[in-house]
Amino acid sequence: MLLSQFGSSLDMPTWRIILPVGISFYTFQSLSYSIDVYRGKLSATKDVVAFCTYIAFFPQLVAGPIERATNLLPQMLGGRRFDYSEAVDGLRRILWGFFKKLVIADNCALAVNQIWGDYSDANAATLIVGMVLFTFQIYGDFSGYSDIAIGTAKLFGIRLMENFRLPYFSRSIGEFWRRWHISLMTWFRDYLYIPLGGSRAGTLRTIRNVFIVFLLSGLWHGANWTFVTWGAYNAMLIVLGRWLWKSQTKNDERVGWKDLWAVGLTFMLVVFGWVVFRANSVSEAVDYLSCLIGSVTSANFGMPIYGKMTVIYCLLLVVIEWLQRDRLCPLQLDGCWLGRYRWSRWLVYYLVFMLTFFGRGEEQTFIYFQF
Amino acid sequence: MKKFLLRILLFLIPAISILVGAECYMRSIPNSYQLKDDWMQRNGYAVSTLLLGNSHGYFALSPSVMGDSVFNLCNVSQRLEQDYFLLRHYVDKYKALKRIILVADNSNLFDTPMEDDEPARVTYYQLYMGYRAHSMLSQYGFELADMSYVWKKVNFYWKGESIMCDSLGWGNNYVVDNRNADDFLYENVRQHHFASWEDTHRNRDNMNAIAAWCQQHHVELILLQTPVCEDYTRKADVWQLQLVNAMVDSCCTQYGARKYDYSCDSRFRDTDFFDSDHLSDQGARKFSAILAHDLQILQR
Repeated sequence: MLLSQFGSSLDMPTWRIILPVGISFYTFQSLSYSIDVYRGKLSATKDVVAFCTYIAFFPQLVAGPIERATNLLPQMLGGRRFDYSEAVDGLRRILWGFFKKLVIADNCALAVNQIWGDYSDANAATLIVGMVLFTFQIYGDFSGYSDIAIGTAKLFGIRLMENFRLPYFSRSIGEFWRRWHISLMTWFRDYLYIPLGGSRAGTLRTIRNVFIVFLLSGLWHGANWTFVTWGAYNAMLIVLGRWLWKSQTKNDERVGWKDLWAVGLTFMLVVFGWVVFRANSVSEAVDYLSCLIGSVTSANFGMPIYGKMTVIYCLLLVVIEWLQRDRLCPLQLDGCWLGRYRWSRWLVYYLVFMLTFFGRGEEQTFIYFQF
Repeated sequence: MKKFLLRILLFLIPAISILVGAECYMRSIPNSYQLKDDWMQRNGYAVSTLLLGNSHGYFALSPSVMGDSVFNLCNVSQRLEQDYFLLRHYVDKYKALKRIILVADNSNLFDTPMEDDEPARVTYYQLYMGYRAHSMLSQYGFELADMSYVWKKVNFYWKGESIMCDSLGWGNNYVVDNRNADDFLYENVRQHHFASWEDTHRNRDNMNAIAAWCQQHHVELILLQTPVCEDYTRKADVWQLQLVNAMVDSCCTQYGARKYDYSCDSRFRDTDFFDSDHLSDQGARKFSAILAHDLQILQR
């Protein structure tokens, strides 16, 4: 688009290949096994059934979490016993996962598709809502799937790794990537970033390593320049973040009210990143952002046309997750006043169940099924 | 494990009860599908002219203006597949049926299956009109399967507008005062796009099947194109309109049906329309009177 202003154009090559569902996930799981065996972290298994179950374990087969052989394979080989509290916890995770997918992601998808389908004449508020709702859509969709997968695995006595830890409450982009799609990012860290030298080989090599990891993680999502650009954008933010804020926040530090400005700033940066991820092409993303800038500069604000009810659902999600931010799943009520009595716990479960059923949006396939 | 299963059961019983209650409530809301089925079950023997088609016929044809023993069995988004089903469904009732007026235009001849676009409407045909294309245990067997329609229906019911048609099946809620002026802007005028040859052939086959049925039962068939506003015709694909005419003409030749095309009728002005391709209540009365008059001439 920029080059066209100067009477030139750049035709970037794209690939159109039909791939089986979830190939990126089980390919990485197979790689993890092979590398761990090669490194001597794990002995090669002779149990074909256990190995195949590890690769094709149905709850997480198509959209993760990308499990490590060191975590999952021993569980497949060992005996399993039914654990009541684990199974109950699994059901809670499944219920919360369905809420995130059906209420948050599916309702957001409806509004986002409408806004992205006709954004050229939309006002600033509508365009901002389109960006923010996609941010919630992808979170609800992907983390919802992970919750359902983790919960289902728990019913079988299998513990999968956590894939999300409230990523939108991160105080920096670095922290965001330690909380978002954890299984993929730790995979890249262990099998790519660290072997390349990590952050211990000088500033330039660290920057190079960060870019390699994020460009590849972008490409992992698909052969589209939007994903590569999105990866580069995140790498740039990570590098800038390291340079501007030397001291990094740790994962285990509790997010508090004093961190809200950092959380807000990080959230905004993430929202802009998702614009490139959502767009069908880089030029569409640039076009969307140009429309936004145009609307803001011409003071075309107004009220958002779509998604008002969905914004309320998203706010509800934020409030619940904020209040329950010390727990892996907001429906874990132990230790809080609502969890004191069985009737109060069940009342909460019923409310979430009914809200999920009656507040669900139009059926949408999981976004990460395409990866 | 026993304790776990027992608690799940205890949890699910009230939850399922609430959902069953909600489904019963949804089914208790009066609607046009139920009304039309009830009417046909009770009065089908007396009907002499039956109107079939989609929203173009539903909003355009007022039986009370057209004469005695006319009934409007059209509905919004009704496909030719459902038209053919409804025609056969009440076959035992027809004692006086002489004429069928079927909407056949560039919307329903190019429609995709209802299951693709509006699955909730398939549910209405299944629940209220005896349509059995899908299992009653599938998503088409429950109103609660599509929440967007559930909320719309409840909303209309609370406003007292859930039926949306008169006692003879005419969709009378397109009141001229409530129309949206923006719908008439050229850029907003609706276009019915060609979807696929497969859909077009299926629709054509259903139209021909209705025509064959009429020929076999000595029932006169009128293939109707209702009035549309000028911009609608201007914006429509010429090739598509030619194809519609070719299919309708072929049906007329093959099965002895008659074609009545009012799509370019200059007697209709903008005030007669609710939107670009639907007549308002006022326009519908005018059109129904014109059609009744034209049919009388034919009879003579």
